[in-house]
Amino acid sequence: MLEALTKYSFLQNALIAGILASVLCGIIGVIITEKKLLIMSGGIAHTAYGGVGLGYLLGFEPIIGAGIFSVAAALIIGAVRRKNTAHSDIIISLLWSLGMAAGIAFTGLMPGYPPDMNSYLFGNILAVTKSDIYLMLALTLTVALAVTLFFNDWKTFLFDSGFAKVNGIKTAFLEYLLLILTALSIVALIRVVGIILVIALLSAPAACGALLTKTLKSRIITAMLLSALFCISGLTISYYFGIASGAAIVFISVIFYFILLIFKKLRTR
Amino acid sequence: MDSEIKIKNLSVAYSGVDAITDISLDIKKGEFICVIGPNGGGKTTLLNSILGFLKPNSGSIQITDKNAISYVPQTAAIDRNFPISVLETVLTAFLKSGLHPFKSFSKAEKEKALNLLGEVGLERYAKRQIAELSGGEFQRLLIARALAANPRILLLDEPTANVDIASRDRIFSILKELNSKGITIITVTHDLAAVRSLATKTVAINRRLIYSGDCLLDQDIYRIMCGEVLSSESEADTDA
Repeated sequence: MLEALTKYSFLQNALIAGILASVLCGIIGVIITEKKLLIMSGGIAHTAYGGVGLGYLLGFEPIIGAGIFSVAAALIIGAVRRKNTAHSDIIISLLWSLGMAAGIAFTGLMPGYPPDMNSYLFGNILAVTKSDIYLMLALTLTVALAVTLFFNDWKTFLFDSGFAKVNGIKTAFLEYLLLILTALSIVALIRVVGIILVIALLSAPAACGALLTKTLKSRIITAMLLSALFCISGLTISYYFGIASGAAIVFISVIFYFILLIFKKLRTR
Repeated sequence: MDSEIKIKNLSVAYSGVDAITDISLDIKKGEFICVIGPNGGGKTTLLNSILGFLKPNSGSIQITDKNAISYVPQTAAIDRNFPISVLETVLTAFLKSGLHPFKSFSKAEKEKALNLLGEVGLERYAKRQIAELSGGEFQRLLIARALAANPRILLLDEPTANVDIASRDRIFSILKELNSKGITIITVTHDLAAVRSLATKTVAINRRLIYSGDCLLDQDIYRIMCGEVLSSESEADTDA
């Protein structure tokens, strides 16, 4: 594979995309896992499908449509959560279905044959282009900067947002920023694992990190490294066995988590 | 005595259902107030309204200095598996007002945090993760964190819930000492012993204010906890 890697630019792009995705998964995956926002991120991801469909229908880049829909979904969910936490589950479920329905409807309205949406649903890291990489790089740097800059504020907010609020920390700003960063990360990850599988890549490395480490910083770094391991090994399996890359990455992530969990349980017996 | 918090005709409702109605209280500097009442009587709603977590439907809450308030939540409301150490937990209280780019804690802040841990008997656990603490130790940690914010008013929600008797007594003595230093304390509690041994004033609510004044007899406290309204001779005094 190393020889092929030096020869084919699509493999190089895939490797770079995998590394950038790993940084995003490490940071955002750990934060949303600790803040119990994984289901919400599933809602945001599926809402993005409506944006992809709209992009195809109106003739603009589908990933930009995905970005607009994701951020809009994140802001709506954020506003509902702040008003009434009990209603946010309902809104997440409705946006989840609405986004998928909109994607199907928009592509159905297109004249001629509908486009192949599989790469957005299940991802195709081997089809990542240079412009996708620039987009991913910009999003990864934005997320990394936002988290590094306010790391201790994030830690306080994630641990006990009520106390942080009483202490005067701008919790509303952090909450909305987190939702927007989550939406942007999902957009970046869609090209790698797709809308349907993105939750696994956000949760599995973070969950493995939680089994292996004790501090927030080391949890993020571990999740990044594991995510890179999952992406590269998934890519290798996809190359040799012809399995869809997104599916291979998710298989490895989930299997690794369960092996680690069983190993940990046996050790602590 | 000067007022720290003045609550006037406060009403709060969730989805159209009244949680508390028309509550008026004058909380004075240095008081130790135990808020009692039956489950669902609105004790935590009152506390959350003072903290600014809930917006009143009507009425007002005037606080002399909002920055002087600190808070000890119910331990059950916090994820004990969060990856944070005992020392780091106290240090988070030094992040006040706004956001703190590239903040790293100074040696003085770490020393102050360790001193506070010493005051609640947790100094030797500073490097441990919070998941390794017992219920009583975790409660004392939350008190140390609240103290790190240097409060003049301390609000606590069920500080002795789910702790053993030894831990409860330790928490009582910490709170007593804080109150003797001039910190105004308002605690929601179901603990009869707390009312008996700590309170300088008891506030009983069951959606409405049903009593505010000196400590009550045990049988009256018990009746309030059970949701009964007191007879006219012991009902709310004049400061409401």
